[in-house]
Amino acid sequence: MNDTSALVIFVAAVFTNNILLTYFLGMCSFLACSRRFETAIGLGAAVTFVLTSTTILNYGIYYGILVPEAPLCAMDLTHLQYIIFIAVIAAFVQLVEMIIERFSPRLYHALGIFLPLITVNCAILGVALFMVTFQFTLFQAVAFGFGGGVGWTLVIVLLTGLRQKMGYANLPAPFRGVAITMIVTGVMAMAYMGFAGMVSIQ
Amino acid sequence: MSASGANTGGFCPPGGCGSQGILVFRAGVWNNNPIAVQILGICSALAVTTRLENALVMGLAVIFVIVLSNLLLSLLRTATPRRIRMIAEVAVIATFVILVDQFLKAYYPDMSGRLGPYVGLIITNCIVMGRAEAFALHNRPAVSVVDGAANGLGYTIILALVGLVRELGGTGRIVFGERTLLEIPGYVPNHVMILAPGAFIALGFLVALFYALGLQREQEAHP
Amino acid sequence: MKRSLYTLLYAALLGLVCAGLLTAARELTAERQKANRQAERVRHILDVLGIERKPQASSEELLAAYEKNVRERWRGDLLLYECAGPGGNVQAVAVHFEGPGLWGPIKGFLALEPDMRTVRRVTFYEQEETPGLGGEISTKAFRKRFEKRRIVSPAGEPGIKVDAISGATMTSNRVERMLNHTIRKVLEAEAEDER
Repeated sequence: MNDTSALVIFVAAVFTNNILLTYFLGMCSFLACSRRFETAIGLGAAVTFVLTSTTILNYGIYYGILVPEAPLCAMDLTHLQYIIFIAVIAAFVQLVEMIIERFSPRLYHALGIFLPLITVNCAILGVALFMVTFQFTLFQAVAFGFGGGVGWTLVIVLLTGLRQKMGYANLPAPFRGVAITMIVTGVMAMAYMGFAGMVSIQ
Repeated sequence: MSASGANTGGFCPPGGCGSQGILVFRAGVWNNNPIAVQILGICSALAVTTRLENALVMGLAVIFVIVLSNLLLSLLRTATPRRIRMIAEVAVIATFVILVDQFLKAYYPDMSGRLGPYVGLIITNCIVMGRAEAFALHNRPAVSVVDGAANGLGYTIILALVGLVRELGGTGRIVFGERTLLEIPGYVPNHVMILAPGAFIALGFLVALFYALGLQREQEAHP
Repeated sequence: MKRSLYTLLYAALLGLVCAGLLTAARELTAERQKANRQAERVRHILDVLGIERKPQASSEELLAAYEKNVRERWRGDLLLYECAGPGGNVQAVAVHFEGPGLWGPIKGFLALEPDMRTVRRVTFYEQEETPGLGGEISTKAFRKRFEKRRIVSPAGEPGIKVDAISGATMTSNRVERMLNHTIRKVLEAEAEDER
């Protein structure tokens, strides 16, 4: 059992164990949506919201149903965790999309394209799987999910800023696009390594 | 840019299986390479390439999943109701991924431990979903299998190259299981290659190399 | 109406087939997976106690070697793994330790001579430290520094001083801390026993 405080885990998830720069999760939408600030922040906020909520849901389902000593079901169903987690995520995103469409068409049009994209964002499923691997309690899992979202948003906003600056640079043709983005992200990852030892997630 | 096939009856499109098959195969491996052109599946390309061995096993796992899910989804393409299309895709892909995961846990537990949660993350690997949605649901089984295999192979080649560079650069040797296959004498390891930044930078330079060798981008590139 | 019914039936059938496939795979491999998990735990104990095994030993062979050579004994809340030689006398005792490293948990086994005062061997079977710096704790060179060390100083103070690896101060400090914590527990358990 892990008795690191939830606050420490939050800080760790944002800096020392950043889900994008340390665990490489959430790269696809990171590359596609980092051209304008509004897009980046909007996507980051959506990811954070979905991440925190689905972490709570998946925690409940995993410890309430899937594990052998669960109160609701006495069988060991942990081998179904991948399929159940992704189903929960897909259903939740679908539900959120329907609610937003019903209650705020304006927000729906602003966010619209992002929500289905989030379902296949590996960060969401990845955080759920890490929650199981690290054996977090509920509060720790929430801190990890929320921190993960905040950390992801931070990095995508930073990269957006960098890409806007790079728009004025005279890059050799082969490097434009994905290649330079990867290299710049690598340098950012190096900078983030400076946070190591600040807090520990265990 | 996804290759579409004429979907009239019969096993092979008019003009024979061969011609379309070769086009689809070349597209998956080079012209429409999932990582370099479609820019998908980057997460695992960075996470599991600390060793060449890990990269190859992950590549094989993805090929297995993408070929079988493409095959099954293509066979079911006329039977699947439109409304639950996405859920059906996810269910089929997840099933095959879990089969791979169970297989590794039973027969190669070391590798399973090293790949960790990234095996499960094949489910959200945009390449698998992408090919299912863009190709398998609109094309015949035979050519869907070729497309799946080609994309899987294109993915594996990039992973293998990144893994090769990272392991050689970061440790000076290539190790498979307990056997050292290659060792550079007198090399002082550059540890940043096995760490996170090394992954990003290695992939960045590799993609730049591919573009320099003539690979066409999907859209106009803005840095 | 007919459409919705078909959708429902299709979804149910697909769900059943998938669940069936997965459960079948699980059942077929359950035994092996369990053996693998147990063998994983056992492998490191065998290594630290110096019990001979083939480099590519299968899970069954590892478990058999463990059954044959190792005895588990509880002292208070400390679990000791005793390696019994022919004739039943104890040749080495191993104890598990773990603690937070710089990047992730560090786990290992500490093997002591039967006198429970001299270190026989140390292994770190799990660590995520910086390769080349903190990661050097897994190398033979670093671990050799512990062999034949006394866990109690001549003045009677429990603990070992770990020579830090240059460039890996934090990792070295944490390793020292977790080892000393375990050493204290071993000595306390022994004192309890003797009462």
